[in-house]
Amino acid sequence: MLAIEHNTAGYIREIVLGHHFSGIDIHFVWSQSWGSSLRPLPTFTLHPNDKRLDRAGLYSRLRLRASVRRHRFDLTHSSWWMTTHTQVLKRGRIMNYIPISTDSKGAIDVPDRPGMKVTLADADTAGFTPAGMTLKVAAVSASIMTDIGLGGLLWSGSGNATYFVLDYVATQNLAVASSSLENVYQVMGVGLRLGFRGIGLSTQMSASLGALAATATLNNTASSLQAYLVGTQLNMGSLPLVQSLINLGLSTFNVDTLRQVGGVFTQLADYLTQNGASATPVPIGLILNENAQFESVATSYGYALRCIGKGYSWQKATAQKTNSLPAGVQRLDAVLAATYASVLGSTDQTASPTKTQIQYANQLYNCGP
Amino acid sequence: MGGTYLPISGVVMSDGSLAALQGLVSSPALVTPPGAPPPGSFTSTGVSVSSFQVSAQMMATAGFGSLVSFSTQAYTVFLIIDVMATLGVPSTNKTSPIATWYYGVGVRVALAGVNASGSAAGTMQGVAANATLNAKASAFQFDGIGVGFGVLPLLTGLVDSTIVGFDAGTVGQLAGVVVDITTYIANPANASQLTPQIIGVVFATQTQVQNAAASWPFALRGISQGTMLGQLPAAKNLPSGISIDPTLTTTMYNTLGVSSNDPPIPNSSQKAAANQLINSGP
Repeated sequence: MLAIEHNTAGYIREIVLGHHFSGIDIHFVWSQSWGSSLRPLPTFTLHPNDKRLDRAGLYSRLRLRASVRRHRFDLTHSSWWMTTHTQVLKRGRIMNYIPISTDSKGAIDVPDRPGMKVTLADADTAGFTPAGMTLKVAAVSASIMTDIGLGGLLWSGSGNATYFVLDYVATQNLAVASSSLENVYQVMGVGLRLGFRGIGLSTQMSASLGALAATATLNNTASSLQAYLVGTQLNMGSLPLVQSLINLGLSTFNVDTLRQVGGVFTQLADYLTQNGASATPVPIGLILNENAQFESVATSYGYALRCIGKGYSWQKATAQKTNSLPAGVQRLDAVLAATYASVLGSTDQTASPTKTQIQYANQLYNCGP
Repeated sequence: MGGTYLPISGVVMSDGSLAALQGLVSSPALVTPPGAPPPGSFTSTGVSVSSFQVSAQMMATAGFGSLVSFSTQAYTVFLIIDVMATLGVPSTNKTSPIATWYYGVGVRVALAGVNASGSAAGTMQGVAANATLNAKASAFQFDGIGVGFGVLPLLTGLVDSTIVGFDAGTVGQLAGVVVDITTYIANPANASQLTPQIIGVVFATQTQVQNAAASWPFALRGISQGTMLGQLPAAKNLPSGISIDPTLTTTMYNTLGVSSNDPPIPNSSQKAAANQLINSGP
C-alpha cells in the first residue's frame, strides 16, 4: 500500500507505506507554485522510518514514485496548504495475517497489495478443528477497514483518525494459490471481529484497549466501534450474543463500553463451547510469504558473526541496536541463536565466546570476496 | 531469557517447513518438524509457565509483531509467557540445525510493558507490579495453541484482562489458567480437541548452520561489489569442512533482483541494498 492521507484542512498528514514493501526506494518530488510558475524543490529519497518534515512550503505539490522490485507506483497529491505535518509511516506487520472480508470467495485482490491476487480455496468446513484461539489487536489502514466491512467507522471530521481491528477467533490455516507468491495461506476463523476508531490518538494507546477507552472518555473524542460475528450461525442460542453486539454498536466507545465488550467475549465463549462443532469457518485473513525473510536471514547471519567477533554473548548481541534496514527486513534473533549455538557449541545465552571462537567467527565472516 | 527452548511461531510453509526458519539452511527439509506427538502424550506432562524476556524482533518471530509495531519507544521490555504442556522431540536428522523440536498445547501470552527496576526487572511480576503501582502502560495479547473451543471458558478471565492491560490482577488470572488448563488437558475426553503445535526449538551445537552463516554475507558482499553471480571468486580461508553454498548465493542474487538484470550485473540500487544489509550493526 502506498497512500497519501490528508485531513480536511488540506494538510498532507502522512504518507503510508504498506508493511509488505521491502527494499523500497521512494523518491519524493516536491514542487512549489509561486503565482503561475512552478519552482521545483530538490528531490530526495526518504527511508520508510524517516520523519522528515517541513520540506515543502505553501502551495506545494507532492509526487511520490515508489519502486518495489518489479512494480512501480506513482501518486500525485496537491496540497494547497503548508505541508508541515507530513510524516512517513511504515505500518508494522499486522496480526501475522492481513485481515480480509469474511465474504471473500474465489479470486480476490490482496488488500494493501496493488496488483496482487490470490485464489481462495473452497474450504472443507465440515469438522472444523481450530489450531488455536487468538486475540490480537492491530492498527490498520482506512482501506482495510472498508475491505473488511467496517467502513462505517471511517472518519471525515476534524482530527486524525486511527483505526484498529480486534479479532477474537479460533483459526485454522489453509494453503491457497497465488500467481505471484508461493506459500500463501488463508486463515479460516470463527469468532468475533471488532473495529475501533480513535480520534487524535497515538497508535501507542491502542495496544491496550483500556488506555484507548480512557483517552476517549477523558477527552470526549469521537471514538467508536463496530462488531460482527465471524462464521457463527444465527440461531436461538446466539440471540443473547447478537443482542449484546447490537448494544455495543449503539454505544460511543468509552470506559463503560469495555464492560460490555468483556460481557460479549464471555457470551461468545459460552456460545462456541456449546455450538462450536456446528460453526462454519470463513476466511478472515491472508498470510503472505514476505520475501524479506531471505534478506532478514542474510543480514542476521552477518550480524551474529560480527557480534561473536566482538566477543559479545548472545544476550548482549540481542540487546544491541540494529542499524536502519530496508522496509520489511529485520534482525532475526532465531538466526543469532542458531549461529551462537553452532560457533560456541552451547545454547547458554550468557556465555561469551572464547578467543578461539572469536577467531573462528572472523574466519567465517571474512571469507571474501 | 529463561526457559529451555527458543519460542517461535509454529506457522509452516506449504512444504511443511517452519516459516520462521526459512533460509536458515538451504534445504527446507532440514527445518521441517517431525510429526506431532499424539494429543494423548500431553495428558500427563503437566502445564508449566515459562517466561522469556525477548527482543522486539523475537516478538515478531513468535507471532506477535503487531504488539511491537505499536511502538518500541513506549515499551522497554517484551516478554513471552508460555502456559503450556510441552513435549520435546529430538531431531533424528544429525544434519538439521534443530536439536530438539518443542510441541505444546496451551496459551502463549505476549506482554509489552515498561520495565520495573530492581530484582523484578524483566519479569512478568515486575512489569505487572509496575503497571499496578505506577500506572505504567502495559499491553498483552495471546494465542491459544493447539486447543479447541472447549478451552474458551477457561480463558474468560484472561480475555477480560486483555481489555484493560496487564497488571497484578493478570498474574493472578494466569495462575488460575494454569490450574484450569492442566485439568482440561489431563482429561482424556478432551484429547480429540488438542492439536499440538510447534512452539519452540533448541538449536544444534555442531557446524550445521556454518555453511549458511558464511554464504549469505558472502553473497551480499559480492552484490555490493558489483560482481556477477557466475563470477564470484572462491571463498578464502574458511575453516576446514565449511564451504559456500551455491543455492544460498543464488537465492540472495534472485532476492535482490540481480538475476533479472540484462546483463545480470548488480545495479546501483541493488548494490546499495546489499550494503545496507551488510551494515546492519553492531
